[in-house]
Amino acid sequence: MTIGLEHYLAVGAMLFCIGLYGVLTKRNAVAVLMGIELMLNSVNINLVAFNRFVAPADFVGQLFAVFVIVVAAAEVAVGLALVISIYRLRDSIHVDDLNLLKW
Amino acid sequence: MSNEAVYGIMFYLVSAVVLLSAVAAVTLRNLIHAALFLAISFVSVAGIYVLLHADFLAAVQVLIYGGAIPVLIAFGVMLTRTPGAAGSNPVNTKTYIWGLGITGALFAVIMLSLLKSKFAMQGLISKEPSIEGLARLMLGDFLIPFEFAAILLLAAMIGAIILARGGEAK
Repeated sequence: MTIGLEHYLAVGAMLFCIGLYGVLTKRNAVAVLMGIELMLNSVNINLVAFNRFVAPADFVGQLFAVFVIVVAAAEVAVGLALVISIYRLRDSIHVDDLNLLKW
Repeated sequence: MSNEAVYGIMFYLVSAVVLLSAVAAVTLRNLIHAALFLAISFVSVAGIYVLLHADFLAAVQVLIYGGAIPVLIAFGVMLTRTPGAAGSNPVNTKTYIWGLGITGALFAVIMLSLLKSKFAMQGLISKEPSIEGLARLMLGDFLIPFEFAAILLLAAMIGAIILARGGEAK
């Protein structure tokens, strides 16, 4: 039972699909943001796994994961600020109530 | 037990915690409970990083995904009150079926291509500690992206403050 690259990629794929399921099937905008965070985490697992098994002499994969974490932190801060702003305007954060631009 | 068996058991244990708490985070009806399971999932991803010899990333994961982001999400949940916590995380009935379909199809495609792929594996492990390697890259080849990340964080912070503060008081 040797754990190889494929095992980690499979975990990453499962986590990505769980996150995508959360994004696609939730009504609460905060829950949608939580799904996006799960997807970003699965991408990080993939990057670090490739770094460990395909290019172990270098640390570029881990560095990319650090940049993904930076962008994810910025994304969740701005995303939650948007959600709070929308809640203040519309008294609702259910994503299918946000249909101002629908004809 | 051999080292490899211990490694395998740890891998399956940590992955099970990551995946099961992620499933709980997207299926629970109570948004506070969902956020708690999301934090558990994030912290156990740090265990996967440890298994992959990425010690610095494991520490960063615990600091940011174990501390900062769950607090932000808890703020988001509490500042946007929905009547009653029990049903605060409803499923979107309009998109449920095709959401499930798209997710399953994507998973099947990824797993099929994973089974068909061959990767140029290298077994050796770097002797250099990952912090030194990362620092050499960050302040060397990747200096410009590193500085841009700082600007991005500043812009996101200012933007979040302005958005959350709201417009001018009338």
